[in-house]
Amino acid sequence: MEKAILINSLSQLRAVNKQYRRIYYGVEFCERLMPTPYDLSKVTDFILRNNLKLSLVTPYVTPRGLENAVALFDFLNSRRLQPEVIINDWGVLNVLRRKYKNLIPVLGRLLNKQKRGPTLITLLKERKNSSPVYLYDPKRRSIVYQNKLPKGIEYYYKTSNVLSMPIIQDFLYNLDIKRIELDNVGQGFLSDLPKGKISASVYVPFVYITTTFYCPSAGCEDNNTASLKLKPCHKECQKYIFKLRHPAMPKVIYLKGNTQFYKNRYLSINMLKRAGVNRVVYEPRVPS
Amino acid sequence: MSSEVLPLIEEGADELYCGYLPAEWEKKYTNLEFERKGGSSNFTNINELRLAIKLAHRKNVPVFVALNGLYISEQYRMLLDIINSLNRIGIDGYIVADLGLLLTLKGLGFNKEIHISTGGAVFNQEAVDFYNRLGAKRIILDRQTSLETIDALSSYYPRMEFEVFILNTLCVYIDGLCTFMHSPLDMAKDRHSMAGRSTNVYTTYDINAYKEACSLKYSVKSCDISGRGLQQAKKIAPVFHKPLTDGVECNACSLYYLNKMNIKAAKIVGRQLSAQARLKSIRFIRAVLDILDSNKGISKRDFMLKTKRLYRNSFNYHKLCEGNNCYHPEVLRYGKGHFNQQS
Repeated sequence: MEKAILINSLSQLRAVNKQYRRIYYGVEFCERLMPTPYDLSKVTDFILRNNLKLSLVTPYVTPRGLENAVALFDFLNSRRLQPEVIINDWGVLNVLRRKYKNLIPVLGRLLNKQKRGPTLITLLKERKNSSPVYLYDPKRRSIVYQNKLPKGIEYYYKTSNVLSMPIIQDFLYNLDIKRIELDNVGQGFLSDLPKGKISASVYVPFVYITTTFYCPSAGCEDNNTASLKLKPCHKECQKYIFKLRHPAMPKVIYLKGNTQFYKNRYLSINMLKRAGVNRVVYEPRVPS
Repeated sequence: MSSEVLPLIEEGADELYCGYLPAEWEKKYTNLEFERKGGSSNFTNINELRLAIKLAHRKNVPVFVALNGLYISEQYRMLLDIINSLNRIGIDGYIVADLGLLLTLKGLGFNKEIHISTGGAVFNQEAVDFYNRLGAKRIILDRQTSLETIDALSSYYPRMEFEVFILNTLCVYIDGLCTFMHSPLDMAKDRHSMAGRSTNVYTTYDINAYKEACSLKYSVKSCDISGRGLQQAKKIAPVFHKPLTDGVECNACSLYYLNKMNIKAAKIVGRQLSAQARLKSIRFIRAVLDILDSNKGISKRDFMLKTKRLYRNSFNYHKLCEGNNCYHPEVLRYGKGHFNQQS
């Protein structure tokens, strides 16, 4: 099992120790935080010095972010480096396949379409529970009963289109994608990736849930509740994270910048083997 | 319902879209994920849908069906049966989010229009090209797509049709990248009597998620970047937008700019609304478009004044329009002719 570490900034290079043979560097969720070619050069120097491997992580992008991604690919080409590039936007894959065929694309976790809402964890457990679950709201004079999910539905919630559909897997393989990134979802995951053709990585411990352009962290120091959704970004995500709790959520939600996660440290070796996972990507901090 | 078709067209709809969920799918796989969000299937009977299509076609109005869930391999036999039956009743095209379905339809030589749902998460010109190569005729852009990006994409790709959302149901997370589960409340047929009073009974698959994870009032602990709780006196807290909305969520003021771009359609989100709400929505948007059509050189200020007045009257909104319910509140402060974003 290959061990990799995900770092979002140069300062996190300090967390890299000898157990890791690969560095994931970059961001998945906000194009404003993408590294510059200069930052990337620092990481490539570190990697060459320490005989490591590189996976450049890229986010979903607007036309502006796409320009920044292309600048990073140009830099890698100029250094004649051939690292993996983690793709979280079909547009980035499109430009990579057209212009940068020497770079190795990997399907990022935003595109694998795993189902991740934390309530799924309890929901799938409750399917086996025989007592009915209901909620009585005296104010509205209403009762809400929870239907049990049908038998066999667990498979749907543990796999995904990418993990189960040969037509997608063939399409990706023909685009030179031979690795798919997975989240260690709390309900467990199942995959039918073609053995020997496409393998998988799993991220631990933070599981991605959702992301937005309406960044809830922007303006968090301003002490106001105005509803203007696009507040000026002062990179508050680099200073604060927020832990969100609610009785309806079986997990604490970590909000960093524009993206939410939950934590799941438990890894089943059997599940990893069955799913074709041969790389674990450790997230030392809540990712960006 | 097919009975809504003619009134919607008479009020100004140039296209219609709907959901369709057959009982056999719901029984086996629930109503949760067939079309992204459960409870959005306003048609469950194929004959009813056939009649709706027939009525719309008589008025030369196309009808598109949303098949924008994410499907796994074992579901395809039933899914393709559903598509075949929809093809037979003359549907004009499908709204698709799933790469597997897109590839399958392409492989089958499918000859109906394919529109890429917001589930396709298109934010740049290369993603447009990606879906163009897979046979898409139209890209439906996420609500959060900035006017700057909409303008850029529609200029880059004049051959592609673009569609934007214009009214109702603002998702504060990116539709195509959000993995929260949504489970609708379905009214049960029976009612209980508790303490001598009639009580409504609902069912849902997820008693927690029907409240919408994105709108929950979370308790928030603010921490520094390493996860340690903050001790400072000044309150540091995220701004969650969804609880701040207090009316019909709206993008109508953006029409001032969108109307000048290469945009094929402005979509009123409406599958989960009542027939009355759908009619009210379309009446409002048609009236806003009429302002632009009848006053070619109207200033942005005058347009917004009229649009806001219409909004307040149409939806009984008694406050000032100050951005609470806007998809793009920054439009309210835009200067003439440019879409300056945040600094």
